[in-house]
Amino acid sequence: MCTGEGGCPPWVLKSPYLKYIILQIASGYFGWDEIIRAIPEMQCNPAAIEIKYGQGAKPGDGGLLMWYKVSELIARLRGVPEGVDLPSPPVHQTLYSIEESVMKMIQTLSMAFDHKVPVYPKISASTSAKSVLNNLVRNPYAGGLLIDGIDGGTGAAYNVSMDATGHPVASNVRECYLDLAAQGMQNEVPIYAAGGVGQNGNVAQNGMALVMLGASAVHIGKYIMQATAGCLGNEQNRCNVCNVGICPKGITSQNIKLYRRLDPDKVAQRVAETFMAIQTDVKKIMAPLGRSQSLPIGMSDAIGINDKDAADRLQIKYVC
Amino acid sequence: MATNVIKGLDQDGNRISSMDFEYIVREAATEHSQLKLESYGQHNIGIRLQRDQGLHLHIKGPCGQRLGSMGMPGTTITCEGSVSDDVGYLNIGAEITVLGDATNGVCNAMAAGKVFIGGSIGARGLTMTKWNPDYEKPELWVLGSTGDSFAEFNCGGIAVICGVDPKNPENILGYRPCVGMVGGLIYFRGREDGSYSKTNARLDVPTDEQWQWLVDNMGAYLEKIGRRDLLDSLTAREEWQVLNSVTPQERALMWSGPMPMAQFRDEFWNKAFGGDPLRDLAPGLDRSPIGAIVTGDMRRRAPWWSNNEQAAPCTYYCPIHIPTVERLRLIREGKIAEAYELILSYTPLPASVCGAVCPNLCMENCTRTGIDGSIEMQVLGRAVANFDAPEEAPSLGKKVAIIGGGPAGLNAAWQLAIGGVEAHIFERDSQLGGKLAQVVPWERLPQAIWDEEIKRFTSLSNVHVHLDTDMTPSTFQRLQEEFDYVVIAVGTHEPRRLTFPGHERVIPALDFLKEAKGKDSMKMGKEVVVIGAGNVGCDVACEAYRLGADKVTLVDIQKPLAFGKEKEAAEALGAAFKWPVMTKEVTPEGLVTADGELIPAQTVFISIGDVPSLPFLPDSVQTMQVGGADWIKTDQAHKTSDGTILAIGDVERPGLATDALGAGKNAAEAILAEIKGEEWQPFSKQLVPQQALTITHYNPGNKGTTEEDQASRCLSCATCRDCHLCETICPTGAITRNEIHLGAETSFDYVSDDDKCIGCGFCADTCPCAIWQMNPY
Repeated sequence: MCTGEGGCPPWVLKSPYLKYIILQIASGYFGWDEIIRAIPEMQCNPAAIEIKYGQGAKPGDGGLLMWYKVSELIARLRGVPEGVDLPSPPVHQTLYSIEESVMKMIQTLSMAFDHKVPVYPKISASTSAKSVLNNLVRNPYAGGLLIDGIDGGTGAAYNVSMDATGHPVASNVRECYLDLAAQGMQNEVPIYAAGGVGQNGNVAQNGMALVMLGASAVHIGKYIMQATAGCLGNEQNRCNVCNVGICPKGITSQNIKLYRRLDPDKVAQRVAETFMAIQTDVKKIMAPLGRSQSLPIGMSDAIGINDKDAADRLQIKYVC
Repeated sequence: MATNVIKGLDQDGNRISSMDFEYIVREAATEHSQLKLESYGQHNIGIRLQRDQGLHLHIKGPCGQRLGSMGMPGTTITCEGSVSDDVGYLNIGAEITVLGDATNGVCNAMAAGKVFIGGSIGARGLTMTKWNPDYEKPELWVLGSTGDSFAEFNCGGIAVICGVDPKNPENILGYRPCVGMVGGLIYFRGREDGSYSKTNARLDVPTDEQWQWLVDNMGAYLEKIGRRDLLDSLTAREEWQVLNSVTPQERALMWSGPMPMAQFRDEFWNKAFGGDPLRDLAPGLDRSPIGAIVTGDMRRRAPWWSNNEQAAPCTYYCPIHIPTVERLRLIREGKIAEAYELILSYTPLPASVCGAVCPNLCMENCTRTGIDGSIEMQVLGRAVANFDAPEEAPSLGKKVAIIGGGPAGLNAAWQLAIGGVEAHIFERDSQLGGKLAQVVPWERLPQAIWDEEIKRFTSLSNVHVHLDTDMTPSTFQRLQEEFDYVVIAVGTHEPRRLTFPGHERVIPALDFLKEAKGKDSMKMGKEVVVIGAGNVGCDVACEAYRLGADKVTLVDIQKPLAFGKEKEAAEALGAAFKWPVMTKEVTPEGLVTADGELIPAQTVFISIGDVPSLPFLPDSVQTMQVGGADWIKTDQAHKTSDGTILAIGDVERPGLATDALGAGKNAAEAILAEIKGEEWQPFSKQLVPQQALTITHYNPGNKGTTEEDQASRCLSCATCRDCHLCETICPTGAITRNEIHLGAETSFDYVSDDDKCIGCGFCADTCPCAIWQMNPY
């Protein structure tokens, strides 16, 4: 489970549950002073460190947490004063180049956890994803690359960013995987796919298709919010009031009359149930491949499409 | 019957293939009921063999896989040694005895028959075993132990595992038996490791019935494998246990789901943090869940009964802000006199103005227009014509001079007089009423009504009228000295003129209307042109027709501003409107336009407005020049730059008679408040939004002709009509109506109980009068 860049309660950082948590560092660097402060007392390492450079739903754009949502709790989680606007800039302000930034951040964060924790960047799916990937191939500390596609969610973005920018994740992941395979480096730098996985409710199918195209893992964000917290946003009819603070389900609100509508126990229950269901679905998808444990990463003969052009483009089977 | 011996090796000592061996055995079985097979590792021995009188195969020598597969009822097989995999595979009735061990897959998919093993068996014994209820249950007897995955998906097979010389004395049933087992029964004697599938099998001791079955059959089994000696040691009941299959119904009850999340949070999650992980980040922050439907403080909006807090459109748009809704309520309640008193506290001229000359902005904006037409205000106005004046308040000992007896001056005097102030009107003309009396044709303002209202006005003891009084600077100065306040209400009586050639031929509308009013004949051309096509121009046209004109043309440089009754009256008489027309000159032949066109006319009037004439005005009163004339500057309370001098009506800016009446009332109230040392509050209610009113409750009907008709038609915008709809519709019964008794007065209110209200807004949505408002909470 990834924290996003909203910080993490110190008691959680110092607990054995940290091993299930991916800590995100993004251009706002929110919450990192508390994370660093907790390092000496950590009982275990985090699952991974995610460095967010880009978000597939709004490439080239950063997030903004409006001042009226920065309550005492949020402020202290993020290590900032209450009631201030918290922008995450579109780029990391200290970078001279993506290469320099990736190098600096990956090496620093990897070293912070004795090179025992995978550190990977998250970028928007784009034509430059391959450049970033090839950079990582030559970086001994890179733990992978997360490619976030156009159909990802966002709590706050311009409509034009959501509607008119971005790149679907599937072909981008495939291109990157084939590029790695050509170098004999497939699975050496794992590719993680994200952005709209499960947006039609077919989370296991979407995820396994991406795995067969070359992803070593997939991330789900919006889907899990819809499936477990009752998020009302969908592709047909976006609710899209996350940024205004009037989320009817209380997910993105700091208003006591709204956030208390969200029952964390029920959400946790549904998260558990959802993952149990995903596990069953994934097993059922892997069974005809004769697999029970190992993911069919890049197993392109396991996937087909009834569109010849798409099949050629993705180098997968054309079936009809 | 003879016994036939069949060898597994041919004459040359070569092994016969399983296929050929089976063929030979099958042939032999047609002739012999007892066959002795000296096999040499052949597979599928005994497959589907059956004889009507029964068949017995005795096997000596190495035995291949699937001994007795598809074994038929009546066939018995005995193997002297050990056997390979899948003994009794798909057996449907054969009785197979193996004196040694058997490897994997014993009784796989067996549906009936019995398999007796004199040693132990390998993995996956008794798997997929079936039981067809039309036949006996299949049985597996094992003297020793079983391998792993025993009885997987067992569906009816009975197994007896005796545990004699087991391969592993610690665990005679192998790892994880009974996975997917849905039927059957396993007797066993010895230890097991507890790895059996708990949702499929239940560990128990044999019931009496089960025990009896075991004892009844044990002897025969031991007989088969030649171990009769073990009978006593294998019939010690306390050494035996059973694994009963769990029924689906039992399984459903066993599955109570995972640990409740709250329990997990308390016992695992929070424990890892030493308590609530947010305890120091947000101490005291209430994070307990609430429902989506809440009451009390958790509501995001709450209803408010805003009775009379906003203004109905009739009241809001009326320049005098006459509370028509309140008046109609009084009529509905049968309080006619109070209704009339109420209206007379706003205007002395309801019949003449509301009932006759006013364009009735109240009606224009009436909400009822959206159903079947506005409330008929003229009916209401005229009804008050003959009602007596209200009582005057005790004298406040103050005097106010009012210059001008038009509608502004009249209402100022009326309000002051009723309020206990001596009001002196100084009128230049020989009658009261200003332009209402001098200019508005009697057709539009019936004289009888007018006279009646003026009579009522002058009946007030505080009203003193001084007619035919010209105002000069010295007179004005004297008034200032003698009176506490001077109110200037002289209106506009100076016609505005233009200076094109021939302008001296043109008659100002004001002069003409004053002269024409009440006259039966005047010199009038057959063709008439009126320059200026506003409502006064229309009055001119009507009077011209009345006095003999055949054709009246109204010209204007812009789209005519005339509207309402005046325009309709002029058009009904045949008046033509022509625009845009710029006047170049007026000749004896008529009006020549800038385009050179001649509009023939013997008489030409000009009606482009009048301006104030203020020769008496002291320097202390500031004016403002607009359109070439001076107008008096006033504040909201109609005070001029000189604190004791007020100005009202057209001298401030041109307006309707009703505007003048409103100004007069406001000025008088401001004076009265100042005299009493109070703060004057101008009308400040907001207009009730049309969308807040719910007019769908009403059906279109007849407008009616009486006051009572109008009273019942009124939607009562912004004032509760006490219809109980909110009380009825409230889904949680939160709204109650309360009677309030204050002395002799009885009133009511509606209250919403915060502890019941869920903030749904049904009350606000249904309220016809827009009383219930949903406010953020």
